[in-house]
This record gives sequence, C-alpha cells and structure tokens, in this order.
Amino acid sequence: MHKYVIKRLLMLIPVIVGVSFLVFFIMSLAPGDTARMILGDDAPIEAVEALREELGLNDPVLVRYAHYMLDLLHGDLGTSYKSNRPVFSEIAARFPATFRLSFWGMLFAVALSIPIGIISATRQYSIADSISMVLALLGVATPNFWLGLMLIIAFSLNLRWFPSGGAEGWKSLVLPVITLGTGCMANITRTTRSSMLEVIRQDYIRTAKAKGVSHSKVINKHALKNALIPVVTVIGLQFGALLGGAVLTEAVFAWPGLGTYLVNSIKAKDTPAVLGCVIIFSICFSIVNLGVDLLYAYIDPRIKSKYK
Amino acid sequence: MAEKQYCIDIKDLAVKFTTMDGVVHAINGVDLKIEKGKTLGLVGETGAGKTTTALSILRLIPNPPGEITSGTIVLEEKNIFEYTEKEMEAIRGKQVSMIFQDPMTSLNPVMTVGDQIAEVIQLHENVDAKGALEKAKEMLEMVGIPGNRAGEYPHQFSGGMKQRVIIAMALVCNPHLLIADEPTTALDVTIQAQVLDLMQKLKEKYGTSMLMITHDLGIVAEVCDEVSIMYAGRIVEHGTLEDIFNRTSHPYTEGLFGSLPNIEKREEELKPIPGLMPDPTNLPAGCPFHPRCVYCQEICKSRVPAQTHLSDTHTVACLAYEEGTGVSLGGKHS
Repeated sequence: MHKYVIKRLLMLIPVIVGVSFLVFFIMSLAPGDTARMILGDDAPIEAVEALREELGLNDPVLVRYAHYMLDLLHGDLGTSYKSNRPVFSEIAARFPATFRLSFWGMLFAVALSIPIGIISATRQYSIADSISMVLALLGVATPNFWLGLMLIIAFSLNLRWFPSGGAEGWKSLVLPVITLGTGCMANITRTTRSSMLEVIRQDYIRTAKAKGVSHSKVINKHALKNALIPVVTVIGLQFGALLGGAVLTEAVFAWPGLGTYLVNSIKAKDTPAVLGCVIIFSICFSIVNLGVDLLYAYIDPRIKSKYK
Repeated sequence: MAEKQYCIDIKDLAVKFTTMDGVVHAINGVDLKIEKGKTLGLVGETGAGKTTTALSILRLIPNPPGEITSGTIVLEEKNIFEYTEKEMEAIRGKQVSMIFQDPMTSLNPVMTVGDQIAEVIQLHENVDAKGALEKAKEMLEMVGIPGNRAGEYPHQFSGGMKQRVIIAMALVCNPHLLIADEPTTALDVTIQAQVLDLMQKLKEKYGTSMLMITHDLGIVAEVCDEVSIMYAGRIVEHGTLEDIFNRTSHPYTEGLFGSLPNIEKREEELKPIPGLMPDPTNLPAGCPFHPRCVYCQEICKSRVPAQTHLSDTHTVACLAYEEGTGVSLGGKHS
C-alpha cells in the first residue's frame, strides 16, 4: 500500500512536466507583446525592448522553458509580470478561499445528493423518484452564473439575509456554496441512483434479505457500500475540478479565489502566473485522484488486493 | 398411525408477474407439503417456477412486478401471509433459510465471510458481536473451513468454499426448514458430491426439513424422500422416491427420465422431450404439457387435469388417469 502511494506520487513529476510544457507553448503562441502590456501603450520602444531583454522574452521558447523548469526545481514559481510579486505567494494568498468554497460546496452537494439518490433508487418510478430526477436534470441544466444571480436577487437584494459578495464570515459562504453545490449535486444524485439500482438487484442483496436483515439495513449496510465506487469517482472528479477555481461562481460573488486570478492572468498574458496556477491545479487534481483511488481500496477489498 | 407433522404446507399457491410483455403466470395453484425432518425434491426445467415457489415461502417475491394472487403457506401452523413484515424478518434466516444457486454472486463482496455469518447470529440470537463472531468461526470449522479465515473476503475463496460459507450461514441458526435452490449447479462435479454430503450430514444433525430444488434427478435419488415434479407453474406428479423412479406416471416425468443417458445401454438413443417450455405469458389451454406430449388427445387441449391419487403417496395430474377421458398412454400404464 505505501509502495503504491509513493509510486503514484512519483507519477506527479511527468504530469507536471507535461502540463507545464503544453501551457508554456500555448501561452507563447498567444498573440500580444508581454513587455508592451506591462509598460503600457505610451512607453518608448527602447524601454519595451530593454524589458523584453530583461525578462528573457527574446530567447527561443525552449530556452525559456528550460529556465522556467530549472527555477521550478528550486521551488520557485517565478515572479508575476503584472504585480511583480512572487507567483507562489499570490497563489498561496488565494488558494485557501478557493479550497474553502470547494470543500463546503462539495459537502453540501454530497450531504443532499446521496440520500436523495438512495430514496430514488429504492422507490424507483415513485413520485419522490420523479421529483428528484426532474430536480437533478434542472440542476445540471441550470447555468451557475444565472443561479448565483437569482440567489443574490432573492436573498441579498430582497430578503437581505446574506451578503451578495466577498468572503467575510460564514454568511458570505452560503450563497456561493449553494450555487456551486447545485450543479455537482445533480450529477452525484444521478450516479448514486443508477449505481444503487444496479446493486439492489444483485444476488447478495437477496441473500441478505433471506437472512432476515431489515429493509433499511439491507440498503444502508449491504447495498450502499457496494454502490459507492462510481459515486466516489464522480465526487472526486468534481472536487478536483472545483479546486481549479469555479471561475463563474467566483466572479458572480466577487470571491477572492484562484479562478478569478487565473482568468485575469491569462488576459494580461502573465505567463508565470498562469503556469503557476496550472501546476497547482494539476497537483491538486492528482492528489484528489489518488485520494479517490485509496478510498476505492478502503471500500472494496477486491481493489485493495490489486494495489501492490 | 400418528398424525403426520408437517413443517410446511403450501396450498393452491399462485404467483404472477406483471411485465411489459404481459402477465407472466409463474405459479398456478401449487400444493406442497414437507414432513418434519424429511427432504422434498422439487424438480423441473428452468422457468417451471421452482425458485418462485421458494421465494414465496420467504415472502421475497419482488413486488412490483411480482404478486402472490392466491394460496396459503402454513409454517408451523400459521399462515405466513398473516405476518407483518417485521415478523417475517424474524422468520427469515431463523425458521426458514435458503441456499442460493450461484455461490459466486450470493455473498456480499465487501464484507468478510465471518461478518456475514455473524450477522445472521446477531439478528436471531441474543449474543453480542464478539460471541456471534466466535460462533461464526465454529460454524466455518463445521463446514470444513479453518476458523481463522473468517476475516477474509469472498473473493479469496473458491466457488465450493463460498457455497460452504453460504451453507454455514443458512444453518447457523438451526432453521426448521432449509430451502436449497440448485445448491450444486454452479459447482464442479467433485465439489458437488462434497457439498451434498455436507448438507446431508448437517441436516441430519439438526433434524432440519429440506426443500431441494434441482433439475438433476441424480441428486434427487441421492438426497430426497419425496419428489414433486413441476411443469409450467404446476405440480404434475408427486410421490415418494420409489413412486417417481419405479412407477413413473406422468408423460413429462417419463420424458425427464428419457432425457438421461444410460451407461448400460449406450446404443439406445436419448429421447429428449420435443419442443420447449410454453411461453409463461401465454400458457396453453387445457393441460399445459399437451403441446409437447406424445400421448396428446383432443380433450387434453381444453380440459385441465385434476390431481389423481394413484396411491396414498402418489398423485399425478394427467387426464390419462381420470375416468372416462379416453386418453391412454399406449397401454404402458393401467
């Protein structure tokens, strides 16, 4: 098991190299002159030339990439072109806000969607099932920014229960968490339902019933654990994606997270900032995925026996 | 002679399933009785309604789509359809337990086998978790599995061992009735014999009555006291082992024996029953076996045969044995 974890962590290295290489190239292909953007349209051409030379922008792409990777080996994510501050501290200042929003958004989604999925599956084709499936469909189909705006109109402007933006105190979390959670909830509900439906038709569920196990215990003890694998997969994928910054939700609620930072950096052609964000995202995503795989092993002993 | 004591008495049981393709009449008026301590073999082709009969006894017919439309099942002098669901849970695994056909899929893959056996004990007996696990280990030893393997998961066991685990699970609370639904069909022949032997021994030890569902007449000859032959949701012939094997009366039973190869007479051709089981959504009128019966007469196509008593122990549902029907089985029987 330890060996497996170490192996998986080592696999982060090629992931980071690949991801950074791709992003570095795409950024270098994008139109616009970074030095000109930093200095502004009125700056004399000599100053722009000088800055370009200073930042090493005149070097070939591969040379620049090599320089970047050498710095990265020393744990240096570079300096933001725009703010002139280290990218690492910029990210470190924003990551906790993003993590907080993703974590509570996910928790909200999981806490509601798993019970709803179970009820839907155990009462297939009942009214409760139809209602939750329609809601799930609406949840997937509703754009985040629209839902966020509607919530702001209802609960901030009219009822004045929650602030419309910012990240001060738990109250400011409520609306963004609901906005973010709704989309994920819909997916998790549907996955729970279909996975449960498959499991409750299995022979071992019949065996459990024949032993005299009560209905609720058959569902919550025997069926749920077997149905969790696909559910955990979906939760992991969505949590990983959320950690990459929920750009629209952050924008609507003026949430000081990574999503907004990344979009602004891309607009400013701030290559070190963009690369820094992308590398942090890929590390987060890989770690969440590793967490999911370890959860598989905890849930299903057959998978555990394969992790050597 | 003292009144016979019955462990279970099923009368006129009928079960139907409502599906997209129509109503499936899975069981149409089945009568079954098992004397205390005896083994009844329930024999028939796939789809004859054997498993549905068994699940009815535990009231585990999935509803919807299944529905028990008539009949009584008297277990220890009380009709089980009068029990609440809660009372039924107390009966399952304790008074009546069941061994399923496929050991590969019948155990929960994410629970240790020890926990799965201990669960039944804790449900029905007044013991704590630790005591239950101890008893589970003893039971594993009894079916020939070392007790220290209780902490392992089903995927670490072979098919035969899984079936032993299931047998241990079914017998650990000393049920009065054990339903074995083709318990050896999915196993290798050598393992089959071991498992049957084990079941026989445990059954004798605990004085359990048994309903042995099978399509294997060899197993019937080995373990059963009485036999019921089932066809299209009806019992077509019932009798003691001798009645069925030596005084075969129903053309369908005869067909079943004709389908068995005989090592003594290898030159003799097998005589398989022509045709297939009728479509259960559209059962033929009259005797359900008439489209496949070599002795079929006009009257068989319209009149449903009643149960005719050939002796105290032997009944058959065939018009050839009813007075004045004019149906004859070619002088073979009188």
